[in-house]
Amino acid sequence: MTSIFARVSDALETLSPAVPYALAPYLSADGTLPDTYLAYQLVVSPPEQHADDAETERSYLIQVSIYSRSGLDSLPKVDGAMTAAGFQKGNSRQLMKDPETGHFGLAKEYRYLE
Amino acid sequence: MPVKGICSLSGLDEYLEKIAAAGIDVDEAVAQALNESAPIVEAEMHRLLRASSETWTGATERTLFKTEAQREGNFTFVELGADTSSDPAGIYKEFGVPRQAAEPFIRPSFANMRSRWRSKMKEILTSLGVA
Repeated sequence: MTSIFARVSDALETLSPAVPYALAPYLSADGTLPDTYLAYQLVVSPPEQHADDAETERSYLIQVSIYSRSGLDSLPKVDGAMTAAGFQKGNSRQLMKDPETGHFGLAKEYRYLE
Repeated sequence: MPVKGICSLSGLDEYLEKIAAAGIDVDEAVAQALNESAPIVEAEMHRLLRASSETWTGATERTLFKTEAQREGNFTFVELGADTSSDPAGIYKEFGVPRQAAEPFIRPSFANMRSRWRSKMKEILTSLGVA
């Protein structure tokens, strides 16, 4: 069975042009961060349905954070990649500019039900 | 694969007429149910925050809040969360920063406790004759 993390990774792999991405936190060998990159993580995964004492449905709330030093005007088409992979769009929230790295941020939520 | 559903209620007019005829103040009952059940989620927020990886200073926990039931028209609600007006630590923890993954504690609290919260709400509303 494909893990939820593999589903997200597979979805983000389809972005064109390609954007660096990783399971949060984004780490690089030299400690530097790309100008634009994505970091994803699982927020919560509650069971949704049971039958005969067995779980039959579970949802996954995934956060994909888009970080960009050039602002948020032009961003990777994450919505399209995620919805094409079966995720439903959820809330978005602008994050505060990071004073250390200079990145602006946008946290986007996606839900997957299986 | 994702599925979509529609939730609908039928027979609500008849139900509300029965409630009104019984002399029950639905708004007051709902407010009471919210006030008595919201601590379930509040406690989970504190538990998850204390389980996070940071060196514990209690600074973020001091920003957590829960309001009493409020009413706007027919909408009755309570608010729970972190007051980030003076300390943004709750935002950093909930959503993460470029070099650090998030350690969500607000969104999971609602998801983890929704079943218990609903049950408690139902229990209270039933005891008040509303459900």
